Amino acid sequence: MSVIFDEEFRRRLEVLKRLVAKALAGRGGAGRSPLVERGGRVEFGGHRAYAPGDEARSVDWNAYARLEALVVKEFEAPKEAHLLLVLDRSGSMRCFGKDAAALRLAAALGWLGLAAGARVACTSSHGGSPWITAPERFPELLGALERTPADGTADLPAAVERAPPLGTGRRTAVVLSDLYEAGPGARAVAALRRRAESVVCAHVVAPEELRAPAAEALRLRDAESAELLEVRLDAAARARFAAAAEAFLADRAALAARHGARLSIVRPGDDLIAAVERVVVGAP
Amino acid sequence: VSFDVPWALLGLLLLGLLILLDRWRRRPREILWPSLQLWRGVAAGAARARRFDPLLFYECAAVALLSLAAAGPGVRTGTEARTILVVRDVGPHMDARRADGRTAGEATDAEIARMGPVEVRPAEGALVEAVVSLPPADLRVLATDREGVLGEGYVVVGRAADGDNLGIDAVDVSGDTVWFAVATDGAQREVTVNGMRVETGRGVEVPFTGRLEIADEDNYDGDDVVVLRRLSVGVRDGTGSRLVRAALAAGTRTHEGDDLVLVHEAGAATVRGADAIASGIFEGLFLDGCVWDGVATREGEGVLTWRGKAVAAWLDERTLWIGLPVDREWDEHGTLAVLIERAKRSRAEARLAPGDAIVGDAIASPAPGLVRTKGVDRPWDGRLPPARSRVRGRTALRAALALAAAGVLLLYLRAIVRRS
Repeated sequence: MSVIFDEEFRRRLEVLKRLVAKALAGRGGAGRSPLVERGGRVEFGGHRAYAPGDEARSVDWNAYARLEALVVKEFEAPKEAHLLLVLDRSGSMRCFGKDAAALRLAAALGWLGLAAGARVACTSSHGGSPWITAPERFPELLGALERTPADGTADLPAAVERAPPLGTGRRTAVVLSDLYEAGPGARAVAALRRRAESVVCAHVVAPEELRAPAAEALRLRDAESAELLEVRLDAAARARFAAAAEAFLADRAALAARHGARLSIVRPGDDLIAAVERVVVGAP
Repeated sequence: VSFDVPWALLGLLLLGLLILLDRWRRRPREILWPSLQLWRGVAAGAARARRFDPLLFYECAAVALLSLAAAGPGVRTGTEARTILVVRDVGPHMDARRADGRTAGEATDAEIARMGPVEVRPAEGALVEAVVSLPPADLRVLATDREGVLGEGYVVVGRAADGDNLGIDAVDVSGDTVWFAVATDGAQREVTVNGMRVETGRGVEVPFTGRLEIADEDNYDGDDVVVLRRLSVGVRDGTGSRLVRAALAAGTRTHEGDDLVLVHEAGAATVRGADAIASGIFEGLFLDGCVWDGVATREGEGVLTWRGKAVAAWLDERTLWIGLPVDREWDEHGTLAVLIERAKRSRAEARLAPGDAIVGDAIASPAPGLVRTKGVDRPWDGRLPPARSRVRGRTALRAALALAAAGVLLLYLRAIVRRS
């Protein structure tokens, strides 16, 4: 079992299986199912005899009029649903536990997607996986996620280009990134929007990186470029940094909205189940 | 400004240490950061400028003030003209012509004049004279000559008869002190003067007694004037009373920074061991607890030592100079002089450390002596050290500095509390 996906983690995800199935099937309604909120449709699975406990609204009253027997309609998740996980594996993700949080979130989404019968693939600028269709092949997806360490610069457009072609079914893409590079991030989201009905940006940010450290003088080394920058922090400098961090978050939210994607903040310290729920259904 | 404990200023070196520590404490710490883009605007601002740190300022100020307080600064004020009291032997023998045609008195006067611009005057208005300074053979003559020698103000408490071969002189200098000089040249009858038993008959080996007392009400602190209440010296050495008329110090007032200069010439023919006599002369001369172990002589290695902490402290404020030429024939000079210098002179130039002594003859010996300062012998031309300025306000300054340091420490603590 992987370090990011152990048995305890899988057990906790069980409670989300139904939620993801609904999301991929679109049964939650447009407002509650962002993964299929655009262009999603429900596959009719057939009739079966009414049994006590079935909801009244699931009874096919037209069939009752014709057949004079109570039957209920059944729906099933579309077999062609696709879930593409786009991971930012740049050096900036190494800081403050963001990489591990993104990997665990991606693994959780992948496992839930496979459990719901969707095809799942992952991609990053360093590599990816083909479409995986069966839950038993989840370790293959997991291996692809863990294979490459976070390093270098983020190239989300290249990751999108590297992704296997999306099918014709319901297509959902989830971008897991800290979105520091606004231009490439916007291009990647736009490219995904052209291919998928639903795009979710899981904006992985750590509270620590939005808060100036307590030290009076810092020598900051950029995790991607190794560039050095010396900063002395007084109250004014801290205020400027706080304002810059706030503007950064607002800008990335606007970026996502501009391209028809939804942005969900993911923090490394958050409860993972809640994070998955936020990404899947857009819960606050 | 002078300092009582100059080495305490080494504490100022802590300032550099504090600044280095501050620089080390505020050195930039390297942190790996996801992206520098949020920091660009911060680094471009005035945040790069080093801020004034009140904590460092308080630390440095406290250390500096405490160091200065420990050093004990004092303000040196203007100098005063020195007063030198010269006691000159005016005995008849001083008028005897020597081989060079001059009298001993003339030679002595010339030496006094050579000392520089000094004012010669009697102590407290009373002329103090060395009474006799003659070889034993002449003592009888002197004894009979006594009345012609003593001036007004002398109280004669005893007088030797012509046949006694004994001279006793006494003079009341201050009004409450009596000193004695007893001269004898051989076995004589016992004489008791004011309780002092004079054991004659053993030539020069008559013990010396002397005492300088400082009354309880005397104060040695800071700028207070020290009053030497009483000085009584008795001399018996078989050379008559040719030795010290040190009683001239009685009734005179000395001040902080005053120097006492004794120039004592002892005839070699009458001295049985310079050290023994010298130590006898000055034994018990000063304060209680002060014992002179010896006195500087040319033959005796020039070592002057004493015991007693209080005395050391007392001597730290004053300097005792002793000249004791013992390598000359006494009758060659025939001069006895005791000098008390009430001068202010620069300690930096001629401050003697415990154990130091000056060996020389300021008056009678034309050859310069040696001055030993800080353990180093240097030629001494017989001139007295320059006038010294008074140092005032040492205690007040020290208290003010300590108070200021305490205030700064309070501000420092308040700043720490505020910062935390």
